[in-house]
Amino acid sequence: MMTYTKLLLFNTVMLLSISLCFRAAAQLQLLSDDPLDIKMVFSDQALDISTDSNNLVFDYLAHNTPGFTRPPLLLAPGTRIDQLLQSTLPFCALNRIKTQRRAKQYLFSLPVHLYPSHRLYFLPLNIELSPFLNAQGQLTDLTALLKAHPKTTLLTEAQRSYGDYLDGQLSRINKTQLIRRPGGDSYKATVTMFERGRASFILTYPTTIQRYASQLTLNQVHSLEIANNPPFVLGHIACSDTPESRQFLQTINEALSKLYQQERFLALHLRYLPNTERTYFRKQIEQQITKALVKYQVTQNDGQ
Amino acid sequence: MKNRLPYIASFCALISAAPNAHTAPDSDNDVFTLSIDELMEVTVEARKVKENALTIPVSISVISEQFLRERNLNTLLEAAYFIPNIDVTTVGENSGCTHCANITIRGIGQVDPLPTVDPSVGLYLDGVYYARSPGGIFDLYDVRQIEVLRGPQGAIFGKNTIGGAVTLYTHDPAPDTFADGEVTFGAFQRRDARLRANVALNESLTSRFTFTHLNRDGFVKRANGELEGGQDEWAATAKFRHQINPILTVQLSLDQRRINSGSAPSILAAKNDQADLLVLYNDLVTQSGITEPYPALQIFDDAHQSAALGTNFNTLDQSGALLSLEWQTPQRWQLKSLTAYREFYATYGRDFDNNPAVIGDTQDFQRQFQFSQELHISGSNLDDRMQWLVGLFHFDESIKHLTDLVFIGGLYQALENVPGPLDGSPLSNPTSIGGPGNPLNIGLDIDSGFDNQVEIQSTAIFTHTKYALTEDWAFHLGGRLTFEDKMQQVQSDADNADVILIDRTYQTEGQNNGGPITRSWRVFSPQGGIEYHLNEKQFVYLSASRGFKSGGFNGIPNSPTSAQPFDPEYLTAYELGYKATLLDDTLQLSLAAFDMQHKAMQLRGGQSTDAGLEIFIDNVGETSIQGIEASFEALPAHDWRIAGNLSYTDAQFDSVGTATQVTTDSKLMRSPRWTAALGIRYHWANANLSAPMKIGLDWAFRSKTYNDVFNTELGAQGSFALVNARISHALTKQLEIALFVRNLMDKRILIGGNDFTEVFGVAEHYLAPPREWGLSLKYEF
Repeated sequence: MMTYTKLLLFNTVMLLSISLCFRAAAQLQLLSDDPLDIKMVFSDQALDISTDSNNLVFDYLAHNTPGFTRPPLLLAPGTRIDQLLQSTLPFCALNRIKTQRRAKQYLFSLPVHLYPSHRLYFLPLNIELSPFLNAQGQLTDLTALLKAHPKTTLLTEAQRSYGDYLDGQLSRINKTQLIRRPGGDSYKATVTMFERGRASFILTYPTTIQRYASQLTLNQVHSLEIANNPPFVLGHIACSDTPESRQFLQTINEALSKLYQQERFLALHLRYLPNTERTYFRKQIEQQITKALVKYQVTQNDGQ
Repeated sequence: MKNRLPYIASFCALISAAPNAHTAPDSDNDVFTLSIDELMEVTVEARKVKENALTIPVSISVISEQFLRERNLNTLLEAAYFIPNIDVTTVGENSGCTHCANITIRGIGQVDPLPTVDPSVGLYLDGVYYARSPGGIFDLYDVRQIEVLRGPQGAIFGKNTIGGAVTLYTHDPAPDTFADGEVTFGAFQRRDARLRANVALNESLTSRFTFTHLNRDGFVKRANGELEGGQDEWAATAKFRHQINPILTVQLSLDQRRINSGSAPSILAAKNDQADLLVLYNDLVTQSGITEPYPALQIFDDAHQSAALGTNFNTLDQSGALLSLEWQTPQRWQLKSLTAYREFYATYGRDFDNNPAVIGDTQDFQRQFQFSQELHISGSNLDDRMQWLVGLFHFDESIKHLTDLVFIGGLYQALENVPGPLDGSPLSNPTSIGGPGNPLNIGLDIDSGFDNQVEIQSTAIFTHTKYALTEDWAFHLGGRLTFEDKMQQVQSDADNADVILIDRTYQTEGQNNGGPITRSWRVFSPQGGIEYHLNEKQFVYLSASRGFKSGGFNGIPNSPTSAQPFDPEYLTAYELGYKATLLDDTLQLSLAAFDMQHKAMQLRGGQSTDAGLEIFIDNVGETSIQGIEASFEALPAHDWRIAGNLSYTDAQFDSVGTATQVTTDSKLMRSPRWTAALGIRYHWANANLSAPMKIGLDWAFRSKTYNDVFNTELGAQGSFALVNARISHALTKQLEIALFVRNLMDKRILIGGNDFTEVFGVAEHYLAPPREWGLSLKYEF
């Protein structure tokens, strides 16, 4: 009987292995944690910096890379995406920010876009903000602002990093003043909750507000840039480390190297920015592209 | 890095334990060697002192670690089917929560996990009151014993135990060093890992660490590929026990748990595209042209398919600490102190229409902090004829809770965009809804938010005495005096109309209908009874007790009228019981018959006013509940064990006063008339086997259960039988393999249900998992 049970155990392990191998041979899949991406990426419609830049890349590949097959795009929560990108299965995700930790865990493409960083948004409030602003009108201390106004609340997305600086600020805010909203629909849901008056402040990207807020809100909303926080972030395609993913990233990077030299890449960014910020951002984009390309060339040469 | 600390701590503990580890056959950890041929004497702490379960005059079920393990029951929700007269759900009536404990015993329970209303069944973890529902359903790994006490336990356990109390005890650090772990694979990509290590640091200092990570996919599939009913959860505990000297012990316990899963698995059970509000909305948007009317609702033949696209989350981030001290006084009295702190941030939400249309989404954000201090001393006098207990208890709690409701999204805008009132009355003097600026539109702005902050302080003194009049006769008396102060700050608004409906906060203090709502109560909960011992193995008892569930506040007020506090409700119970060990210690039997009178029940009422429908809670209900409970455990033959139970409950409303949700013909929700369970275990020994093959089959039955207060048939669960099976075998002295199947007959079992077809056009069913299998490997290092 011992033999039977060991056989059962052996068979179970074999079945699990076969199942994993079967999955490993599966086609590369693209992931996003934003339901609107599922609808808009691969469409012809202009929407915002991240969608338009992804569309630009895939459109370029469709027209210029013979035999390129666009991977299917699936929705997955952010935490699930993190797990899958660390797996041995071929998964890639759109719009990922490259951090030191993530760079050790999975692979990144060249930057696909650059967009303005998190800002603090609020609808008209009866609060004196000047003690918390510097000469440039930037918010100097989010924690102090919330502490000085204990009846106010701040809405954020749960299980998402806001970068080292803001994560540090958030960790020092009185817990009763923080509302963290989880869920795969949290980009839209947090903006909707903010519009409905569920919180005094919301910390989010300008692109997210632009994407999901009503025109009425956009007409009324105020925002503050946050001092000490990087003014922009770079969005990448991130992939798990598999042969299929490496091949896919190589194709993407080659496309991006070409697209960086085209005016339409710059134009899709500037289209969504106020006139006053365009010169500054053009310079930033050019600098970041040059930096990324130099790094990329070094990596390529090392690889050869 | 912060998130990895518990992993690292557990791993280090396991590794450090392993080199010196050995299986400890006498330890409480050794589950492979437990005999099937002996009925164990079960020690319980139902009266805060250690006593034999079969000698206390309380209707109690004791669920041991072995019981849970033999049935692969991992949560109280799964175990409840096999315990008489208890019902457990996570979703309540209206939450979509996956980790909230909504417990009903003998028909007395909690409707929703709103923190402004207290539970009716007390939940205790290692003797510490677990005040709120979120996080109350958790993995029972390393739980030593669960005691389910039926009937009011107010004299000993205090407030909010009128239905009963559920007390869970985890293992304390043992004097040995050992470690074990278990991995489980199964249906829905299940991958669970559980590890524990007990490390004796020196002769007087011992420690124990556990770590669990539970992961599986859901079984209800949404149209966008998301799943509901999955699990992504980890927990870690660390305990340190210091035996300072033979009479003084100090123990520090720390725990942390995180959950990140989707909504409770739900589907659209029935639809009505002609529901009142859907028709109104469709007419208005067609008339105004501002947007498209609702498409026909999608309902599927597939029992696990949903078209939902909206809210889908459940999270919990919880931490707790307990410092306990036990001291034996020179008079051999036992003094025990429990100092505990717990906090959590819980979120839960649902898309109750299970469709892309925004007909109903609810989401809750609850943050709670609690501190408690209990001190009690027990002893015996008069040659042990009198046993007594005296205690003090203080509890301090702070809760912040945001409820966000979206019903018929866009209805208000649609009303504002039609030319005038629907009945043709002038907009300047409207008698019906409709038209820009019409003040009556606000009543149908049912996108609402409720921001509650509740502060609670409770202090109690309690005592209990048992006195043996003769060798056969004894009586017991007890009582608890509780002082409680509560305060609610609440603000609610109608979103689209941008109107603050109510503002009862410090900011409006001094204004009409402004300022926080406060209430204080002083309540005495007595208990008493007599018992007669027929012989050493049989006794009968008659007891009477009275408990209270604390008063509270309306958590979803939409007008000054509805923002009223309500008072405690009271329950008086009489119980006649018989307990015995018979047939040469091969049969243990417990019987109890009870009669309970429930007064001043907190029931919801409603009235239509200019402000719309005002919902309030008032102490207007009265019920009578009678029933019986029986349970047994028997050893009919060598290598065979049978256990079973049966309960019958007859509950009726005697009066409902001004309540609008129920009538005197209503049935109590989540209160089946019959519950029954039968479990058979057999150890099959064979010369070819190094250890017996352990085979278990369990059957549980529940008669029809109404899942909502309205007793809707669509939301109800018909009678059903659940069958689970498990087979296990110790391959070596260290390795055990087990194969189990839950819900073998693949019954469709609801953990909740609602019928909103008349108004919102939808009925929702919350589902328990369908048939699922699993394979577990347990290894003792």
